[in-house]
Amino acid sequence: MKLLEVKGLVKHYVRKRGLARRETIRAVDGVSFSLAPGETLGLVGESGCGKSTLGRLILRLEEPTAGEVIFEGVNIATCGEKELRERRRHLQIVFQDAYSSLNPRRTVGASVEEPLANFGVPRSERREQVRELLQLVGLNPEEAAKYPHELSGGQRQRVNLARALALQPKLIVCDEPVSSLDVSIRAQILKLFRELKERFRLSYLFISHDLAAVSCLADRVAVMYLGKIMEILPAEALSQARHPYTRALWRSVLPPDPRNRATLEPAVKGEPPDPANPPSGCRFHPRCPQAQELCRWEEPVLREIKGGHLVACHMVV
Amino acid sequence: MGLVREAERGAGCWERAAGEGAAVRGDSAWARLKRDRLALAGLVMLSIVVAVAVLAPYLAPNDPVKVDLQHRLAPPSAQYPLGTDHLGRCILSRLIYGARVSLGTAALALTAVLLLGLPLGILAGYCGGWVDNLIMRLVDILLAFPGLVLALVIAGTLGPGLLNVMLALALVWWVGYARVIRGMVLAVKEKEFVLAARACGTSRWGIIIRHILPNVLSPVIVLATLDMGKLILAISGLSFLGLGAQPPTPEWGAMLNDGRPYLQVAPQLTLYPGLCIMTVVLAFNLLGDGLRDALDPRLTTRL
Amino acid sequence: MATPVLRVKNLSTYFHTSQGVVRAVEQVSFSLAPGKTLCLVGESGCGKSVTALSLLRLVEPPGKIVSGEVWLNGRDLLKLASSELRRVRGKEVALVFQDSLTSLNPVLTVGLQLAETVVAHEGLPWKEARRRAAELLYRLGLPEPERLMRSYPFQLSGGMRQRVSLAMALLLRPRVLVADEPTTALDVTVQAQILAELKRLQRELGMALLLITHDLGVVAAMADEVAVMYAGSIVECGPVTEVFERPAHPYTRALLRSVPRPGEELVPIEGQPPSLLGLPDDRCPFLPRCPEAREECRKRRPELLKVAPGQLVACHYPYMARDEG
Repeated sequence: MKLLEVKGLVKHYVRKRGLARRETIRAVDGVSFSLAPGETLGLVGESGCGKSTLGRLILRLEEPTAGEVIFEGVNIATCGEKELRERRRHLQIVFQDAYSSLNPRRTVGASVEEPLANFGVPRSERREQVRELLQLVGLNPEEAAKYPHELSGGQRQRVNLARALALQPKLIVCDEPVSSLDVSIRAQILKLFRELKERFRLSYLFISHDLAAVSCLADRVAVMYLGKIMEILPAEALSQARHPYTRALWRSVLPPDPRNRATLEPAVKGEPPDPANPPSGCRFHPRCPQAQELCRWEEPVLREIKGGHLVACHMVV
Repeated sequence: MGLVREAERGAGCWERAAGEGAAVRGDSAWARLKRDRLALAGLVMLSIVVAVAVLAPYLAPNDPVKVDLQHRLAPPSAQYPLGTDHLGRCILSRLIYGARVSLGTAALALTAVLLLGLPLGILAGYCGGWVDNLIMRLVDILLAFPGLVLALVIAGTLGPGLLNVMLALALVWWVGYARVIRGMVLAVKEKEFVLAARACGTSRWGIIIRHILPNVLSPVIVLATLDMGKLILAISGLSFLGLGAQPPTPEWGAMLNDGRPYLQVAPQLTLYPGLCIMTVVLAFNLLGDGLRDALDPRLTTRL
Repeated sequence: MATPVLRVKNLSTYFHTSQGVVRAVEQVSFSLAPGKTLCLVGESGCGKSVTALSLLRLVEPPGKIVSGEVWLNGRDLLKLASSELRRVRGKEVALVFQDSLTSLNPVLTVGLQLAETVVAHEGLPWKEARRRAAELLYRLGLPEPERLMRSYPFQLSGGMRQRVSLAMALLLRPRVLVADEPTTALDVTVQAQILAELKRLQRELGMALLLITHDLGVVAAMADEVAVMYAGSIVECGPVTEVFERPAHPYTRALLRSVPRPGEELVPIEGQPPSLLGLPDDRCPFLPRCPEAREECRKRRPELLKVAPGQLVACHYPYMARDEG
């Protein structure tokens, strides 16, 4: 049984350029994957590859242009308002910016209480539940009376996590939840994510640009480039990735090991192109060290090369 | 665009140390306002004017509408501390009662402005689509006319009288609010905490009341404070033109108008109401500027 | 070791705020040899950026440099007249920041800004200045420098902009480059390219690099020497291989362990960095988070002392090589 199944998901934005010109930005351009209960899928890519948009589409915080998001058997992308609200009980999100994720004019306790109130938990029980939730994420329950600006970045992200956990979700979309935290705090929060996952058998869609952080948490990793998934593979197989882009990302991770300086040789050249005019054929071909003539005009499809390992590349046989 | 700011905004150096890592308790808006001497002066001035308006029957030495033709244009005396006007009415008493009329009218007009502008602005910003289009096109049309002239036309059509002036002003004034509020709502709506609220099942109304309204309110308070001064000026102006307060109602703008023919012989008739208007408008501006600094959320985390 | 090109001694910068004194930089000393790279590493708020700004006296009020010496080329920058200091900035020491969009003027073309720097400092004719700028851009891995010089900053991608900022800093061939988180805002693939180019140019120009970063991976890739900062002070410094392989300070050790590495257990540091506001100076600032804290740590703030050749540590009970066994 799959918890989440995404099929052919598309999101196009129309950007106005000047008075009359309009161009379509293909933020997410036909993405399909699935997630089993208790499984964590890491979603990796560079800025502008559409990974955050994808996360928001799954909760329908943005309206998809096309495609299906089937969560617990219901198509979130097309279901009615009431059904959507009911489904979101089990489907939550944590954002990168821990500060702007909390209403600056409400106490932390009120923010955590909000989902409980929305789903009819009686007032008398809410207080106790908020205390429990705060404890669960490693905060002192007394912090409930504070305002977001009185907390540190790490504490704020814990509050966001407490709010996401309030309704006992099955899947949490984590959109770069540790990227703006300091190294020592980042490790704390990553560890908390892992403990909670094991304790409640949670599934995460863990979106990040940091391959090292993702590999600590994810069971499988999906690599996105310009709105498309390039490769899906088990996290432990990252070092044996087949797609040239995944390999480039992997080689760009700088390990804190001064003896290993060979890694500084850049794996790819250039930067991701404008998602409004993606290159023809394989989107990665202008930067790909292995690109051939075929890659220029034919777009590779994502296909399984062995159990659980999917690649979209002509050069992988 | 759903692009993430992947940038770790690392170099924020000590500000972050003090504001975030250390979680310094940002002091309250009131504490910050108290440190602003000019704003405090404005507040004190306004408190005095409001007290005078409220206590008018006890403070005024004379009946403000009682005509004493024996003492027309009299100089200051024990009975008439600031002298009398062209009908022999006590200027001081008229000024004191005039505070009631001028402030009261402006406050009522402002309330009407907010009642129109706030919901329409929030609706336009939050709903977007055709609702937004409809409201904003209406705003555009109204803004295409010079505001005061339009108010003049409306008040003229409705006929003279304070109530009509208030109505006329409210009908032109709300557009500015609707526009500003819409802009702020658009910005707040995209904040992650609104998305998070949507994701955890908060209804539309819940989001508007609990998340959007409190976050647009403080700039609106600042705007409203600054606008009180402008409204007092506008009401006085319309009264000066004979559209607002009708004789014998004491109102500062109307008093200016009444004194105009005697500018050469009895300048005090225009001087005193003019001074009153200036003082109150200045006080509102000082307080408004102070409030803007005190309520600015960007300053809350700064040391 | 060669004569250092930059020597900082007991530098302290405080911020006087309405709520008290923030000791952003406290008694920081280090030196930098020509052609070498020193990384200042630490978490946000540890004072590493303020240190960089203090070197060039760019700290804005309420910040104030309260003590110290910054020796460059036999002159103490902190005692220099402003007119002389202006000549030193850019010419002898250059700065690159994280945010390249705000450090470039948005309404002037890239070429004009680059050439202007050369013209202003070296009095070269414009044509010559533009030629030099174009050449440097090409060496920084930008294939079409002439076309690039005609564009405005907002038309460039983040990586290109950061390369332009870098070019701006390197145009006058400074002896020391101070780079504050130069690649933090960039994607990993672009970061790798820029770091590689920076390193190559550093070698070619024989320039010393003071690199400020929070990323231990960047440190490992770039540094010869590393100084770890915590709560405004340097807690450990030395050759990067020594410090990374045999960290002597509990903070350095914990920091290294809290970096996620594929297939390895995460060991976070509990707690959070202290507020620099009203930080007590009669104890070790790392005390509340330190697994090794003992009585002495509560009584006295440790000084930076030598534990191994070139390796200094501010800890009463540093990890020594013998502890490893």
